[in-house]
Parts: sequence; structure tokens; C-alpha cells
Amino acid sequence: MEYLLRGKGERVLLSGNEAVARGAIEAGIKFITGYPGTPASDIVDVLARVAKDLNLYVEWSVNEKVAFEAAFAAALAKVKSMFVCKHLGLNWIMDPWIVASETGVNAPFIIVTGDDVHPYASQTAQDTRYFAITAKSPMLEPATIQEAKDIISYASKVSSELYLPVVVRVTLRICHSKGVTILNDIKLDNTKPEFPRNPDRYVMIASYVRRRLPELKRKYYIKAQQLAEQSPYNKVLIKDSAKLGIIASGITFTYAKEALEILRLEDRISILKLAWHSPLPKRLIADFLAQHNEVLVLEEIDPVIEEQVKAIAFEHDLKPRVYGRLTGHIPMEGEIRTETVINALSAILKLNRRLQYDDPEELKKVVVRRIPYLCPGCPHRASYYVLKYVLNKLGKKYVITGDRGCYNQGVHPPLRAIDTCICMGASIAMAHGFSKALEDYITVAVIGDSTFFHAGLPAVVNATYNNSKPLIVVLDNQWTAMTGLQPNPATGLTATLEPTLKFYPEAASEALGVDYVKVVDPYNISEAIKIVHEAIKYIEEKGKPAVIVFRHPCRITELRELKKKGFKPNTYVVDESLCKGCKYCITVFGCPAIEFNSLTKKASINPIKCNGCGVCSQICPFGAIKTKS
Amino acid sequence: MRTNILVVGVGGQGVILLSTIIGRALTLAGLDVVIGETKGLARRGGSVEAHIKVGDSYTSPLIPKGLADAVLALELLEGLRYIPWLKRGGCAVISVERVPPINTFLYDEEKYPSIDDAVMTLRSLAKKYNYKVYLVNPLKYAIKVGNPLTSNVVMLGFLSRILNLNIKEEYMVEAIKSSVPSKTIDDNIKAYKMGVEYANNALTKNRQEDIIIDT
Repeated sequence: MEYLLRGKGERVLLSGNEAVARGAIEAGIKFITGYPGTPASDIVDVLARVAKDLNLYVEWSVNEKVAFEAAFAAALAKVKSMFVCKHLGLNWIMDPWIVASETGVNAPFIIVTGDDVHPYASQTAQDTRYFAITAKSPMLEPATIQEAKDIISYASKVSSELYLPVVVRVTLRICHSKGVTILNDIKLDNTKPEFPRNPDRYVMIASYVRRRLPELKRKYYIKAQQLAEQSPYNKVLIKDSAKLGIIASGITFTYAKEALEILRLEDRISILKLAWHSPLPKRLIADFLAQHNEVLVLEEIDPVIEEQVKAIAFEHDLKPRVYGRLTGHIPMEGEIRTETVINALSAILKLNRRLQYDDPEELKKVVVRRIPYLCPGCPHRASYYVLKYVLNKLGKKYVITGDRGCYNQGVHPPLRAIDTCICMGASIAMAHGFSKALEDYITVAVIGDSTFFHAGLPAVVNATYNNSKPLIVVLDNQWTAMTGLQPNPATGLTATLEPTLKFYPEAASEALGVDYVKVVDPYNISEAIKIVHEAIKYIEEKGKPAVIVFRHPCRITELRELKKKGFKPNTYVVDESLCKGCKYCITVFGCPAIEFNSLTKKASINPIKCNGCGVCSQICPFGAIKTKS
Repeated sequence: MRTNILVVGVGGQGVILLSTIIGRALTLAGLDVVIGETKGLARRGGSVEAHIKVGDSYTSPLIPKGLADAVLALELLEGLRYIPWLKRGGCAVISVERVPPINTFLYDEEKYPSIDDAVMTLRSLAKKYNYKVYLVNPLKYAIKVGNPLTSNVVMLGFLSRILNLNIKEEYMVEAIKSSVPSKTIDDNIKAYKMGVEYANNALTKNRQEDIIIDT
């Protein structure tokens, strides 16, 4: 991480997330909170690693709402603060965010949202601009890695001028890209923290709020509007006598630029690069519209600017033709790429340069897809195997609700182990709902340790308080794995990897009214099967919720620890004399380390992929899988 | 110098590490570079791409399809999948390493391509689009170095010689030093140099051939 701490003027290759982290350091941000979420998780990870060196406070909070409220409090105490989340995290902070705009802040307070606009790794591609507009927060979006760093200091200035939270939106394409970045000074802030008591301002009951709203409206609609119009991050690149102009927000600027270079139209088409989304620099846009007959709007993901452009044109009595997602020139869903812009320009200008996406025929014949999977040795595979084994044996109707984490990969063939996966914590609440609505079904909720403490606890109370009978299965692999192995309350470590209180889902469940609570290692298949049978019998006889905690560390972390101590895990092999070629290990268990030879009709274990969990040796119907020795 | 290099492979093979080494070497050489990546546990075992674009810091982080100067594939099926990213006359360096996806064991109709089918397809495409294709076995050389995990860096050495990247070896060495575990630095530097030598041998082979196979 030393490259993150280098001095002014140094050229360093940084990822977008690292650039945001360095940006926070250069802006003098001292208090950072968040909850892991793709694509923004690394920002807090990276800051946690330099926290000691720079005397920063960095925290992984239990969920986004708590994280926001903690950072907001620090900002009221005059400490420069930053809250980081994925786009969906904004759904969790709306309650405090709206009120934070009403109270205002006493130090720069930046909300960083990492947006998965395609989406590549989320349950949706929501457009976070609506959220900033609702909360009346300025929102900025950088176009390059360098801007992702520098814009944090700029956002900090905007926040301190307006005394409002400011959002910096970075899309996955920026977060997960790398670029050469020139560093600036690291800022050391010496403001003395203090809280200026003022209940009229901070106790937001209706009568006090009504007095503050006019000031908020002035700040957002007038002052922020002026800052947007003057911002150096918006750039107007007019080409004389150009009839067509492109309005490109955030990273789409780079796609527009590249498309024009490829089509050799750089001298014939203007570009308006926008970094402000909320509020939009309306005068800047009006001036741009006045100089062109046609305008192509590039933005991710919804036609937010496109619709406002039409309103701005109307207001100024202009009639340009506006092209974008609503006109079908840009597809309604999916990330924009240079190819997207080339196709749009081809259609508008009637060029014959539509890029071919279709692969050659001879290639289509040989290329097969590659479906993702749970890692070899993953304890979740064992847990799902056990659940499906018992439920299929019992033959009753069932629903398995899933949740967000590595374990949602259990949906892939061959396991197909979960029936729903909606959002954080929905597994338990939906299992409760299904339990009430489908009285003759067995309802099972599957949730991870991090998600359990993030959003699962209230749903457990709801199930015991409102008397339903779901089987709640907590997959406790001790880490928030999906997002890059961050610690959470079940790990017993803080963001900066210091030991702290460790939380146990079984203890929490007992405290919240669950009478049947068992803990078992999913690697122990026969024991796990026994417990699941017993738990289902309990919920059917007693009509009350049951909790099973399947506890085994994420195999990746476990192997790292074993390696450090000098232990080598067992490798497993298939005894061909016993293997009947039934493919149970592949078609039911589905470990990706197990391969099958279609000529010899025998399974084999790839020793490079095998992580030595030994579960396959327990489930092979013919006992054909053994340890190497 | 404006060059687009697409590095592809299977999640876990080290595509990101390799592209980071190239990126750091280019940064040390004073060049502007942008790298777009697909990665993350959500894609465990899936295809991974690193788009390396040299020469302009305001360029997009992705290589438009059909505009890559080179495709470096750490795995055979991924090499086939991503060869359409190459421009006409572009260069592909593809490893013969096979990481069969689980669907090829689950479904009879999805088969991992045989080496013969792969070679036939690559020959046909090379002819059609004037690609220069090198099918290589970096593991053979990594084993010579004494560390099979360095096969990626063998490919890196191979590619830099084939493309004539003109990056001083000292920058590559510095980039390797700052990116790999300290115990493996010497092995990886040896692997890089071996890759360069490997490419020198490949270049002396018959240039009339559509694809150069060295397995």
C-alpha cells in the first residue's frame, strides 16, 4: 500500500477505488464508514490499511444505515467525513439522508456510491441520481481515474460551502479500472472536534423542520445551481459549424471521445462533458442546445438528463432533436460502451459503420459458455447439498429463500438450491411470509453471517413475535466473502483487523425467542443431515421457528491460515476401480474440481483445483473417492 | 505509442495480476495507460478480462470489439472466445492450458473443444482476418524455471517480445518486483526472460504458417 502514500507529483497506477481513497486522504477526510458492496468495497478496505499511518478512523459498520448515521454524526462534530456504499446501499440511508440535508452538516460530508449500471454483480441497476435529487444533495460523477481522485477534494469544497452532504457517484467501470494518476499533497486537518448544541436545528420535529426547509431549497436550487454552472469539471468542447452535439455525463465522455476518433468525426461534432448531475447546470446546457440542431445524450442508466434537456429546451424556446435512451438510439438497459456510441452516431448520421457484434460461424461451433460456481471446498456447497438431500427425501413441498452473498451462487446448476434472492435480509422475512401464506410448505431461509447481522435480526424477531415456522439456516463462514473477504461482527475483527467482540448467530437467535438452535459443521455431512431432519420435525410439530448455524470458515481463508501454520490439506482422488461413472458427484454435488472423462466414463479430481474439504468422499454412493495417501 | 492489449483467462488464473504488472511497467516507462477489468467473487470461475490501453489517459477503459492489437489468453477456450476482439492483422498469443467449465461435465451437448477443433478454427480465422496466432505452452517453461505458478509471466515475456513493446527490461523487472510475493521474485524474473527467449525461437519458425504452434 506504500504507493498510495507517495508524495505530490508522483505518477502511480491506481484503480478507481484506490483513486477515491487517495482523494479522501488529499481532502483531509478523517472519519470513514461503510458497508461492503460491489463495486465500492475496496475504497474502505484500502483506507483501513493506511488508517494507522494517517491517523484516520475507518469502520466497517453493521449496515449502511448505521454507517451513514455514524459518519453524519462525525460531520456534525466538525470532523471531515465520508460514507461509502454500493448503489443499493442508498436504499438503506434514505431515512437519515433526507433529514441530514435539512439539518445540514458542520464539516465536509461526502457520500460515495459505487454504481453497477449494467448490472454485473447486483440485483438491479438502479439510477442513484433520483436519490440525490430527492435528498437535495449535489451529485458529481468523474470521467477518469484522475478525476475520481481530484473530485473528492472538489466535493469537499462544495460540501463546506453549502453545509450539505455531497454525493460522488463512481460507476463500476471506474471503480474496477486502473489508470495513471498524478498525486497531490496529503492534507492533515487539525480542526478541533466539537458539537455546537442547537436543538432547533438538529431535532427535526415537523414544526422545526418547516422553519429549515426554505433555507434548504435556497441552498439546492440557487447556490448549488450556481456552483454547477461554474464547475471546472464540466467542459464545453464546441466544434464550429457542428450541427450535432453530444452531452456526455461521467465516464461516457471517454466513450464519446473514442467513438468520434474511430469514426474520424472529432472535428465535426461538439461535446458537452457533464460532471454535475444534481442539480444540472441548466444554463450551460441551454447554451449548448442553442448552438446545435441535434443532441445525443449519453448517461447511465435512466434518461434523467435526456428528459431534463427537453424541459430546458422548452424553457428557452429551442427545438433541437434530442436522441438517447427514449428514442432507442441507446439501448434502454446495459452499460454504454464505445460501440454503443458508434452505433448511435451511425443511425443518426446515416453512416454505414454499424459495428458487427456477431461472431464468425466457425467460432460459434466451438465456443461454450462458462458458468460461475461456488469455489471447490466451499462450505455452502455442503450446506446446500444437505438441505436439498433432506427436503427431497421428505417429499413435501418447500420453498428455500436465499439472500445476498457468495451463497447466492447456489442458484447455479447443478445445485439450483435457492428459490428467491431479493435483497439484504429478505430471506428470513420472506420465509416468514411464505410460512404464513403457504401453510403446508416447508419454508427455509438461507442467510450468511454478515447479512444476518446487517438485516436479519429484525426479521427473526418478526418470526418469533408473529408466530410463523420457518427453518432459518445461517451460513456462518465468518467473513463477508462475496465482496472481497471483509470482517464483520461474526469475524471478531474490526476493519483495521484488530480483535474485537465476536458475535454468534446462535446466541442472537436464542435471545430473540428461538427455542430450537443448533450449530453444526457442514463438512460433517451425516451430522448435518441428522440436524436438518430434526429441525424440520421440530418446526412441523411445534409450529415455531428453528435456527441451524452451519459454521465453517470460508475455505479460501481457512487454507491461507493452514498454509501459514505449515499444514497441507489432503488431496482427494477417485479410485477408478470403484467409480461407476454415475456422475452423482458432478450432477448433484457439483464441485468444479471434479471432472469427467466421457471416453473412460470415470470421474477424476483436478489436484490443482481441489481444496481438500473431503465432502465428495462422504457423498459418493460407491465410496470411490479417497484421500491420496 | 497507442496499443490495445486484451488479457483474458479464467477467474483465479491471474489475469488481473498480469495486467497490473504490464500497467506498472508502462507507468514506469512514462506512458499513459488505462486498464479496464472484470473481476470479483461474483464471477468466480467465470471469464475475466483486462483491457490494457496505452497512450491516452482520457480514453475509455474498454477495447472496442475488433480493435485490439493483441489478445493474450491464459486459457484455450477463453482464447477462442475473445479472438474476435482482435483487429485485422492483430496478434493472438494463446495458452494450451485447459480449464473445463463445469457445464461441459453437466450437459452432453456442451463440450470443451478438442485441440484439433481449436487449431482448425484458429487457422480458418487467421486466414480470413490475417491474424498472427501463437499457440503456446508456458507451463513447460515455468517448470524449467522450477515454479509452475510463473507460467503467466512466461507468457508476458513472450508477448512483449512478439509485440515489440519496447519497454526497457528494467521497468518490467521493477513492475514484477512490486507485484508478486517477495519469495517468488527471482523465479518470476527468470520466467519473464524465458518467455522472451521462447518468443525469439517462435519468431524464427516458418512465417508462412497461419498459426505457430509450440506445445
